[in-house]
Amino acid sequence: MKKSLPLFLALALFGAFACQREVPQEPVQEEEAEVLSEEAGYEPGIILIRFVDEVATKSVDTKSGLRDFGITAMYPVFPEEECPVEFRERERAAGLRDFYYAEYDPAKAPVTKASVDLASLPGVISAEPVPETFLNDAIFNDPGLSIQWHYINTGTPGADVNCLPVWQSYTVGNASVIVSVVDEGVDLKHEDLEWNCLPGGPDGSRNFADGSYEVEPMSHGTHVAGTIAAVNNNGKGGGGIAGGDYLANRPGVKIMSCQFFGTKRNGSAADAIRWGANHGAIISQNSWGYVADTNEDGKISADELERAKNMRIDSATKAAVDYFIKFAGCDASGNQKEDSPMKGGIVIFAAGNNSIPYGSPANYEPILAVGAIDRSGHRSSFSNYGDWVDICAPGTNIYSTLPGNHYGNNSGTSMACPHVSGVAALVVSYCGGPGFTADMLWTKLVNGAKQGFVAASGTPIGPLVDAYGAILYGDTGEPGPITEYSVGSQSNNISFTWNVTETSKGSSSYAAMLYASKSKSALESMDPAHPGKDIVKANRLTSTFNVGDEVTGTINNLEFETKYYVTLAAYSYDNGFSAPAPIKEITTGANNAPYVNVGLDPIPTHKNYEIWTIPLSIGDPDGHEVTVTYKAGSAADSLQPDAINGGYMIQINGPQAPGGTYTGTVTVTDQYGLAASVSVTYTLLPNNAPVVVNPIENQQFDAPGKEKSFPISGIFKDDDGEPLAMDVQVSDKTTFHAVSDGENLIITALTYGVANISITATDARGESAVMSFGVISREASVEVSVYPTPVEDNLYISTGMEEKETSISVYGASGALVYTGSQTTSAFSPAVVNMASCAPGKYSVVFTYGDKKYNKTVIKK
Amino acid sequence: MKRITITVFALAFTVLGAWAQGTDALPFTRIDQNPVSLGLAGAGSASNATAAYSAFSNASMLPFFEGRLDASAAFQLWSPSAAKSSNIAVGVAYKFSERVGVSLGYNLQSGAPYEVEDYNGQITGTFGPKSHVIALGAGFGIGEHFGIGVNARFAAQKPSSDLSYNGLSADLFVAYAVNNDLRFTAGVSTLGTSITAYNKKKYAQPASVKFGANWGISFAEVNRVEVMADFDYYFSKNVSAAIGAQYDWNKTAFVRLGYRYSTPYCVIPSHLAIGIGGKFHGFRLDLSYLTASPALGNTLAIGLGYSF
Repeated sequence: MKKSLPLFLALALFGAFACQREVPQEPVQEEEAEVLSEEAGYEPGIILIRFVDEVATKSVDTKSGLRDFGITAMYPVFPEEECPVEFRERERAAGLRDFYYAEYDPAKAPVTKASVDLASLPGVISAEPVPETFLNDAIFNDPGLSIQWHYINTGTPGADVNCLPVWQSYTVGNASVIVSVVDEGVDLKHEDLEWNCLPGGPDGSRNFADGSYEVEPMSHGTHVAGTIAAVNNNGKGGGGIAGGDYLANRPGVKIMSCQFFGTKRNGSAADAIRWGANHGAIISQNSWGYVADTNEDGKISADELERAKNMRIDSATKAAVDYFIKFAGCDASGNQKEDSPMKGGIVIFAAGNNSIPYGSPANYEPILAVGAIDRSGHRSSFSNYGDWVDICAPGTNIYSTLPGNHYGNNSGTSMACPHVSGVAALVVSYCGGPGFTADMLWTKLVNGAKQGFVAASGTPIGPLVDAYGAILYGDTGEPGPITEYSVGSQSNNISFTWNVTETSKGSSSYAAMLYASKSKSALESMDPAHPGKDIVKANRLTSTFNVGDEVTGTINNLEFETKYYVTLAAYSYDNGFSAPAPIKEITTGANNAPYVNVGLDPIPTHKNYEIWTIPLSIGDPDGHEVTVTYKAGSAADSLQPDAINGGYMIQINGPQAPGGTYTGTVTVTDQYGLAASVSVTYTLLPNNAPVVVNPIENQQFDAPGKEKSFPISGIFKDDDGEPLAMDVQVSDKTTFHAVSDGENLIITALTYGVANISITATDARGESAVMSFGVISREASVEVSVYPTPVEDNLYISTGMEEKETSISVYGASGALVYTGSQTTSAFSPAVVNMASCAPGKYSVVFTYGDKKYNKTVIKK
Repeated sequence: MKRITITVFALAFTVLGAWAQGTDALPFTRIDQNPVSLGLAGAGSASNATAAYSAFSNASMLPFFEGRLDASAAFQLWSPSAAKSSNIAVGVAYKFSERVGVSLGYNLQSGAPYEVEDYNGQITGTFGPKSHVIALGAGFGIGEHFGIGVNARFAAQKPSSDLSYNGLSADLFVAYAVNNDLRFTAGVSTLGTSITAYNKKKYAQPASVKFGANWGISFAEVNRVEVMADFDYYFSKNVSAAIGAQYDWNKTAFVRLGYRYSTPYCVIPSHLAIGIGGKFHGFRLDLSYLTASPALGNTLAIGLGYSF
């Protein structure tokens, strides 16, 4: 047999185990905890912060001292670079730029407390913990489900296998369905697979590499099996398309591992395929193929391409495939076995990963060949393509099981193939039974897939597998007609209320189409599927309701005060319409003006440094879209969307304007031009600048490494009571280090010398006060200091901390007087004697400081 | 950065003191090593009482020395309240004939160890500065009344571990003895090479034009009083004048008193000097003490000599 392991395995292993950006926490098991902690339900270590717009545009390091708060990383919720350029201005106006996620060490503080603390920082509008999320609609508690985009893609809706509605309303898999995984061995003891695996044995899994029933847990096979039947709702790992529901005790489909790739040698794939047919499998999953890159240089040369073009399935494998298709699920006579959900089998192969228009054995006509797409719904860059590719499925960055109770991402058509196998298993689980054939399954899979979803552009990979479409295809039943309904109008909107009808299959009708026209005859003669341009229509999905539930739908944006004729009709997933309901007549109403109300009365006066908001209540009684404009009263006020409560608010950023009374005007205009406005008047108190009240005296340090600490709170005073931003500067950073930890000023002497330290306290309005003092570091035994020696020009005489008048005389070696004078000196203002004109040699400096007399020798160069 | 800071501070307290116009290089060469003349405030350049230290001062008086050999050693504690150095000097003079004499002298000055401080005021070490002077003198008599003398001097100082300066200088004097009681002398002293500072600026040694006079009177056989006067005009435009008087009893006991006036920045400042001495069988012991000077007050010198 041709060896094909390296290619697929290489790609299967490609992409490795992508770092999970976010792995949802284990959900709280309410039935286990008597009391939930305050932190329960919130993501630890992450806070959602909304900044004032001016602060949001600054770099992270300058945002309100967040580094000092222990914030280790910040990133925007709505990255601007992901927004098309033409939409950036409106995103900015909508305030999306103001939102950031901030990460911190959760061990330092509970997220609720940290949020409260952060919210108090200047420039922060709000700070809130981030609720834990997982897919409510998925009804499964598997933590990895939220990153399994290939099942439910919220980023590119539709670019997934659409299994959610099947899970919700049809099936999660059935243990009567057996899928043989012809591949590397599956880890049959994996915590997220074992429940759905057939153990090794005469009627179960088998190792064809060594001829035993001991299946080796291997990476590729385990990953493939997980996509098909990882156990759902067991709180572990991710989900599997047909993995059942552990909590509901509903096992999924069964995995039969038919290992033919071995660690030492390979077995026969043909034999493995045949084994599945004879032991109950009706789906043969094959994520392997023949090597196209024969020299394994990572490139397909012209010769290799030609060889791939001409490659065909080998005769033994062809025979095994034919055998499986014909006899899977059948007894010796060729009849469907009583316990088999399907007559005949389907053999599914991965198309290959060389991005060439050839692939074998997948291109064998009876085989369902599977190409791969990525998260954005495009062909995966590696996927082979061509008209021979029957269907495609997600194949890039697929999260699934790995040996040893591990999980991780892989990429390849190897990953796409089990998606189709899983969907096939799901369909058989629901639709299977006596008379259900493999051909019917093939039709449902291919025809029920999303046609044209993946742009071909010369590299076709078929329609995108759709589990829901496959379930419903050819089997939705006719929708029951709607015979009774009520209709009403609000302004230019018409609402319909009716009860969900039943299809011929007993399920709820998929949806209803609502129609309105000024011409009764247009309605009377319309084709519900193609109503014509004189008829306005709107649809309402009803498949998630039960038969008989009352539902309401609306046609909006009609003409005002106009008589309309209306009707509605139920329709199915595949666009089969019922007969329209009886036509009714109704007249739309007039346009009602929108409203805007101020949520504060009276509006309190605020101090100048405060940032606060005035909530607004804005709406339109007719449900029309409105635009809101705002004329600001000052530089401080602006209209902002209220992300917490919805709607809008006026944000007053006090520091942006001087004290005074200002009036802003909010105008709300509906989509038809009708407007309402309100004036909002607010008052800001004048700002009081900070002042120094307790200055720090000059300080002496008697050795490098000595440290002193001073409380900052007592130095400055601000009558507004607002927090002040502190900035500490040192005139000589090589001599002293000074830093503020928010409460104390900490000064450390680095070496001997003198420096000046200044602290500037700045309020939100930018007004500041400065306090400066001198620091000196010298040996404790040194009362005075005369330096440098030797001296070139200026000689410095540094005395004690207190400033005193000092008489100074300088004598030469012979006793000759060369200088005499008097200066006021201290440790911070040393006397300076310019000896530039003195001859080289020894001199004596005699000076008095206080009542002490000093005689110091200096050398002049 | 710190120097700038200190300069900024310093500008607030600009020096308004008085400065010398410039200072002399190797000023220690003008320190009087002779404890006899030191007790006369340095007057006595025209004295012939001693010759041992003539190599340091005035070799033209050698022909008028009454002995043949004069050797002496002296110790000074110089300027303890300012310059603070301890000096040792040795000198010897020998007359080959009535008219020719030579002298040789050596002087070592040791300053008090000082602390070396860097620009941050940090003490980085200590050092004891030293200075040396080697002097040669030769005097020649011309006739009975005249004499000429020349001195050559080498001076070197090492004020720090990485600095050293040296220079050569010479004195040239003439002397005229009217008689044994009245003598005059004149000459130039310490004419020599300059030294160069780190910034290439040159500084001259303390040269001067000197005049001296010596008048003695004896009475009652054993008593003698001598009065000496010296005057120096320095090339640094400083002036210094000294007057001293010595009472001599039987050439055995001596009491000396002197006063020197100098302009404020002169190399040897103004001071008052007193001295005593004794002589016995050629051996001589002299003590001197200086006072009335902020710089030189409490200077003490002691010398021991022998002459024949």
